[in-house]
Amino acid sequence: MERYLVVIYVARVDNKRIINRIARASLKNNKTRNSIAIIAIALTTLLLTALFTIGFGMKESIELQTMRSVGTTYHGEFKDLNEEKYEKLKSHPLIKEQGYRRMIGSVINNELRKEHVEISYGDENYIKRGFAYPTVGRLPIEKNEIITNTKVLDLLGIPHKVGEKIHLKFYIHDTNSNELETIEKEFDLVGFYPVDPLMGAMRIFTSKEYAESLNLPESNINLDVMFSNSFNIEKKLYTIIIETGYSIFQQDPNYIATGVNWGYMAEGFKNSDPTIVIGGIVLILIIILTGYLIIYNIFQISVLRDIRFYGLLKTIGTTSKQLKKIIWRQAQLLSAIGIPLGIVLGYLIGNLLVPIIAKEFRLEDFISISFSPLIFLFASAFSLATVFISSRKPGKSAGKVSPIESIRIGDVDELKYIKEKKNENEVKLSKMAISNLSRNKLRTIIVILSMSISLVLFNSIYTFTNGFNPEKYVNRFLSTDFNIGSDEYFKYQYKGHDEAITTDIINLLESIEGFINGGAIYYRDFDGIWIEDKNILELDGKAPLQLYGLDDFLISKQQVIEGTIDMDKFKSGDYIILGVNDEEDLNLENANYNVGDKITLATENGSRQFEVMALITYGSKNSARRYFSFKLANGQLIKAQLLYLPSSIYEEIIENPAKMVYKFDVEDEKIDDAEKILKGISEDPILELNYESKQILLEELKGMKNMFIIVGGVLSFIIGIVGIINFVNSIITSIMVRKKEFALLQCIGMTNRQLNSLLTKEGLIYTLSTIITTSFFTLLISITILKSFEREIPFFTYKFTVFPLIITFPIIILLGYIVPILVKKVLVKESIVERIRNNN
Amino acid sequence: MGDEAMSYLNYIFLGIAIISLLYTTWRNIKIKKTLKKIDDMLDLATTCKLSQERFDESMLSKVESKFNRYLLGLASSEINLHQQKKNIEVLVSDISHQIKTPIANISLYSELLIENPSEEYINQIIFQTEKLKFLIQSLVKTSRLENGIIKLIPSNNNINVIIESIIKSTEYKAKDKDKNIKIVYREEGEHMAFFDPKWTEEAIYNIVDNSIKYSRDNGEIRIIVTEYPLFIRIDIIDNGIGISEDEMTKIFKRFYRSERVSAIEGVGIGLYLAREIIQGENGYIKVESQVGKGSTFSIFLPKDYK
Amino acid sequence: METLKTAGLKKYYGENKNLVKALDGVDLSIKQGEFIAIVGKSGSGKSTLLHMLGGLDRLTDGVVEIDGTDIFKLKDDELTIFRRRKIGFVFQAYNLVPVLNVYENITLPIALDGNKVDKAYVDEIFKTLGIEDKKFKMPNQLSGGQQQRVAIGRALATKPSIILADEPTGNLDSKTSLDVMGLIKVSSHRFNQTVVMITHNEEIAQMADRVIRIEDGKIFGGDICG
Repeated sequence: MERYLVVIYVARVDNKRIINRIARASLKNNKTRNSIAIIAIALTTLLLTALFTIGFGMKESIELQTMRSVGTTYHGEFKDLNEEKYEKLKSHPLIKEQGYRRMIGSVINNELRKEHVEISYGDENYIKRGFAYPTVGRLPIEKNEIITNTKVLDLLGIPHKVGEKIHLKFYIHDTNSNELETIEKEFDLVGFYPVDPLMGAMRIFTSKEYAESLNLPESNINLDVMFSNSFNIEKKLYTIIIETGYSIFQQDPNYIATGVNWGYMAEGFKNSDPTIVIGGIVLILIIILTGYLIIYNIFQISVLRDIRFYGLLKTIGTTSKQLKKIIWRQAQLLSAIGIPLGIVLGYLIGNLLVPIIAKEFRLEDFISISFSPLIFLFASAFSLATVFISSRKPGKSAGKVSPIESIRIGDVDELKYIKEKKNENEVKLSKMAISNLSRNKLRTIIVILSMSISLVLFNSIYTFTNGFNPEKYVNRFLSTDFNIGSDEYFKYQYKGHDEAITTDIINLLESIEGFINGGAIYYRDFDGIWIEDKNILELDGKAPLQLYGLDDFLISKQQVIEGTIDMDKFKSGDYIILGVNDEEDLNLENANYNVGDKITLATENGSRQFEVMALITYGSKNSARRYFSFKLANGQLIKAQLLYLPSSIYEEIIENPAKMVYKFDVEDEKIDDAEKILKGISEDPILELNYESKQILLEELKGMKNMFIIVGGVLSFIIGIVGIINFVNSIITSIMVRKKEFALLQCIGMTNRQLNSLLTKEGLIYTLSTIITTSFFTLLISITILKSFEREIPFFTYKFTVFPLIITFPIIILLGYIVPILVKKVLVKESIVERIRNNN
Repeated sequence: MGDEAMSYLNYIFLGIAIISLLYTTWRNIKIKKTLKKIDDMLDLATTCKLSQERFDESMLSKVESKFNRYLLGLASSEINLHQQKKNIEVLVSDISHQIKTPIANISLYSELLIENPSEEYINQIIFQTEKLKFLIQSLVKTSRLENGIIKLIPSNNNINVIIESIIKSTEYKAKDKDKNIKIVYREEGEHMAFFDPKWTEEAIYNIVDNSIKYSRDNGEIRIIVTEYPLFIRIDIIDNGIGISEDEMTKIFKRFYRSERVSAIEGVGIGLYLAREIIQGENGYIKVESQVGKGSTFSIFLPKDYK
Repeated sequence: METLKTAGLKKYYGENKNLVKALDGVDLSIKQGEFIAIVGKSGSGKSTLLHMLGGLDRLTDGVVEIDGTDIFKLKDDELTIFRRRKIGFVFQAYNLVPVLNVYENITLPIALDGNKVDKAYVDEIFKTLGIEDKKFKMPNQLSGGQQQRVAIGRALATKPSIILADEPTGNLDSKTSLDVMGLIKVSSHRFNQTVVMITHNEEIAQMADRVIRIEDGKIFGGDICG
């Protein structure tokens, strides 16, 4: 009391300063409370900072890396424009910035055969935003000047030096990749930039003068544009097209194709992922709620403890407003320590985690750690707001204290039973525990929910990761261990015999040790065959097609969507299989024919009728990776149908059949050896072969799986920590406010053991409720949402599991058992008499 | 094969037998221990020195506690019995003492009467006989009450009626001789309480009578009735000689007579009887007093709160 | 027969200069069925004395015997069990368990000892204390006097050897105080309970069979033995 009196003496001198003094004096008196409060504030800030840092960092990193693979940071692109369209579009007011690019063609130097190298002209804006601005040298101006990246230079064997001569062989092609003209010329290197491993295609940029000197097709201008923001990019592109008087529909003659840079997440959110945004908001709310509960409890308890002090202050003339200010001031002083502490720790943790995640995602070279001051600003603001909300009610309580009332006993959880409890049996500790938990039902429910959420999330993430099935994903691209084809094939330029696999090669492959089985896909570009379809009058009833032949081994590997493949019937020669696009969607309405339909294939030598036996998906694993379509005079597009026959029948129909690729399986132990052999083959410059390996693809996806584990783990961990903090805090509060009640119970004969048993029961009710809630929601989410992922996500196979729960439940039960006893041991140290006497 | 199975069975039976044996032995030891403990307890109990040593959640401790309580009750009733025996002895000696004087007096006056017939002697004999009669009546009442021959039958009654009746019956005593004591009672509405009217009147009468006895001449006795949520309080306030603090608890003892009041007639049984009656009705009596200034007797009678 | 006996009871707080002798050699003897009031000013050590008698705090020196058991020879949990079987407490601040109804509060000590409730006896307590119709009420639904009556009921429930009451009417107005005291007195008589009560209120103290005065940690006046 003496300390307070000194303060009060000063109180009459200065009003504002004194509030400060009282607040500080009161702080000094509550060291334990201060530490807990600071830890709580710091923790809230830490969690928020970490969350924001990870969020910002991830968003920026992913955006940037996506843009790099796209090759530009422009929001969107108008494609295949002629001069007229270009001039009209470029002045639209929605466009804030723009870049110009004129496609020339593809480079076909032998040294570059395994890469797809584009040659084009781009203006300065385009190059700047296209990650291609020379780090050494300058932009090309003269006719014979070019820039490119270091990898192209390396492949060509040219030193990284400005002024080097570069001999290029390339052809000009139209928008449908049809070769128009082949050119060979020597250029001067005037600048270069480091290679970006994420970049899809290699690029060589010429000067404007050179591009204009060539005889280029009309519609090969791309206009890349930036808008004021990245929301609704697609809509903005369409607006511009329509307002300029063109069409966004493919069948219209004045159609303009567009592209959206999917690197922009804001654009991505619109289409697909509100869950990430909502998830983030929920996470923030959970953290704020946790912080609120802890800080509120701390202040409320300390106000009640100091109630006499506040009563005294009021007696001598402190107003309610001033008392509120004293509490708020205390909260501010504690925040002044807690928030910076939390920010520093949170920032450190966030920045330690982002690189780890990046590394697992194989993004370490491109990761941008966000130093955005926004993070600090947001985290501090949210924390301070939390502290403010938390200290409001305790401030009010302090303000409401009446001098007389202050002598009375206060209870943080003032109970207001309205109903009678009709029980006339002996009290059971378990029932008492339940009653105790229902003192503050809201808090109990929040604690149970917050613990449950983390467990449900944990299990869901585990289920998701566990069901992560790269094979399923890879199988879409590669159904066998190895796929070997010509360089041209892998550059999407396979046409026929010149690039076919020879029998020698196949013999070589079949002799590889551990070879199990293999088969070839037969294909060549061939105009002399069509489907007789009287509906297509424009093409004289000749519908276009791509016909493939499959060896037996590969027939069984196809993914059937409808119908069944009966090998014997299929090989009889009366049946045919139709391919349906897999990578875009599986919409069967796009299929022109269905199972049971008759298809007549015709050549100049005659026609042959087949019945459709099954529909299979087609994609890069069973096609030439080039698809054809014909534009009719009315603008309608006719897509070439992909049809499959057994290789024996194929050979009967197509003269000079060519083996496009050879696919085969190898015994697991021998895969590494086979891999080496294939690598050797692919490096042989004479063979001009390349290959795909399932093992390598799977390898690459492993990083992705790890990223899921880490991101999910971090999320579960944060929420788990929040849940446990809530639980511990709830126990601490409930024990703090019941110190006196415990003393009373001990007076009337409750032994320590019985008291511990009561507290343990309370803890166990918490945890058991958590377990029940968790089990319920886990099952619900597992069999609804997670199961539905199986269809949505190509690399996910749903496997029901509660393994993480089985592991964590015992830990949770243990927590429920130990925490209350531990907290009681730490907090309740006064003797019974001291507690009985203390009226707080 | 059969032999092997048999030998297995043998082993199993042997095992079961050993386990049962061990268990039984353990149980026996345990039971013996418990019995020994109870035996010890009984030994101690016979010497009246039983005190419990073990307080834990075990059944034995609970039995010990209950047994201890029972023995304590037994011991205390034994002590009570002993005390009662002593009390009776004292009572008998008290009674003989109390009776001795009037009888001696009667015999003395009777003899005098024979020698010299005089009205004064006759009056003396009548007075002594009255005193004897009162004494005997009081003794009969208390003993009947104590032994439960008479039962108090409380019911909801108006206390005013009782008080007025008492004032009437004590008036002659108050106005008696030179005393001229005023009894003041202001009736304020009905005061209902839960009591046996006949015996309660007796009790309050005894207290009022007591107050009159120890009042100064021309004194005043006030009777005040106060209502409480659970009790009705009847204060009988005199401005008489008062009671000292060490006497306070003794005045309700049977035959207690303060040495300071030996000059005043009385047998020391009225207050005792009053307290017995009031307590029997779940009420109680409280005394406040200052020597020389007066006393307040407060009778608390329970209200019918059922 | 002695229910409670103390000899040379001492409780000192602090050390050296700051030494406070809360109790400085108290000898008491209380017989079964007695109603004792311990009177003293605040700071006289009367609360400390009561806490010592109930074994709530360890003493510096001396002996407290209840029913022949030296209570400070017991371990903490033993002492607690001893308390629930032998001692009933009534505190100034009624101290009911807020989550239990009246019936549960009263029978709580019985339940803690794992015994069956003697319904007839408990009913009699309810009747004597006039709280029959409050059986299922929660503590917060009762007035102060009613809560204290429940607390008395709880103290009586286990038929303890002794009831210790610490300013049982300290929080009540004077009318309710007399009522509550009346109930303690009536029920202690009815159930033949030994009661030791501390109070600073002379009027309340007068209701006791015997008044013991305490000053500066020592017994002062009043009979030490009844």
